[in-house]
Amino acid sequence: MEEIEVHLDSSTNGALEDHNTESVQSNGITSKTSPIQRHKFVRLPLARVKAMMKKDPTCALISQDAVFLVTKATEMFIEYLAKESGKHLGASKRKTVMKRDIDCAIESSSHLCFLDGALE
Amino acid sequence: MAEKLEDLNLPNASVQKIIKEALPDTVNIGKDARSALSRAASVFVLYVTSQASNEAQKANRKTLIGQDIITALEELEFENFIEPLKDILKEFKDSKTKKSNKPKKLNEEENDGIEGEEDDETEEPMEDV
Repeated sequence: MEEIEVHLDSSTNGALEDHNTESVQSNGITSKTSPIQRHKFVRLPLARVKAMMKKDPTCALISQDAVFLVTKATEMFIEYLAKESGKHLGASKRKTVMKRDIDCAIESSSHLCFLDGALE
Repeated sequence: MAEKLEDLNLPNASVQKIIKEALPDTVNIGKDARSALSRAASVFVLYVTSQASNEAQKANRKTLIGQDIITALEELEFENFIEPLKDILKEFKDSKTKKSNKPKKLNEEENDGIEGEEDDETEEPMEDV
């Protein structure tokens, strides 16, 4: 069913690209085929996220699944925060999300309180 | 060391893309806001990692595994993320399994002995970035 041709573009950002296709050659090795990337699993670089995670001193070893989940969760988080911030535009009829909209979003949601003061 | 901290931000272009896709086409994002979102994402990574690390420690494990991340997200009130994450993790694992089940082609040697499933206890070097 999934005829998605993912011609992997070597290792753009360590993204794991594929969506049930046969022609996967991921692990980011030298498949210098045309860069048609569809249905990438992640849009952020796994290696970079892993490096960030390793900054935590209590975090010795990290499984690949864990890195993947954190990367994906972070993407979802960015989307979520962007949308929440965008909700504050309506009243002022602005079309550009500004930092203060993000601050409003943080103040409005209890589970975003970890960001309080972190973005200054 | 300061410059190392700087390196541990996510690439601006990737973050920008995610933001653009999240917002309606008619809406833009200011530079300060984009930078703030990127920083927020970095903080999020550390926050989740820290919580997950606690979970691993409770279980007397030195390796952070996927379940720790899931549990951490629950604790941090990001339950909405969990189901989609589980689904995509399953797809990711399936795609790795498919690759390792394929007969080895002689073109590239990338699939050499990389079995996707057994890496829970080891820290596998990630793909080339």
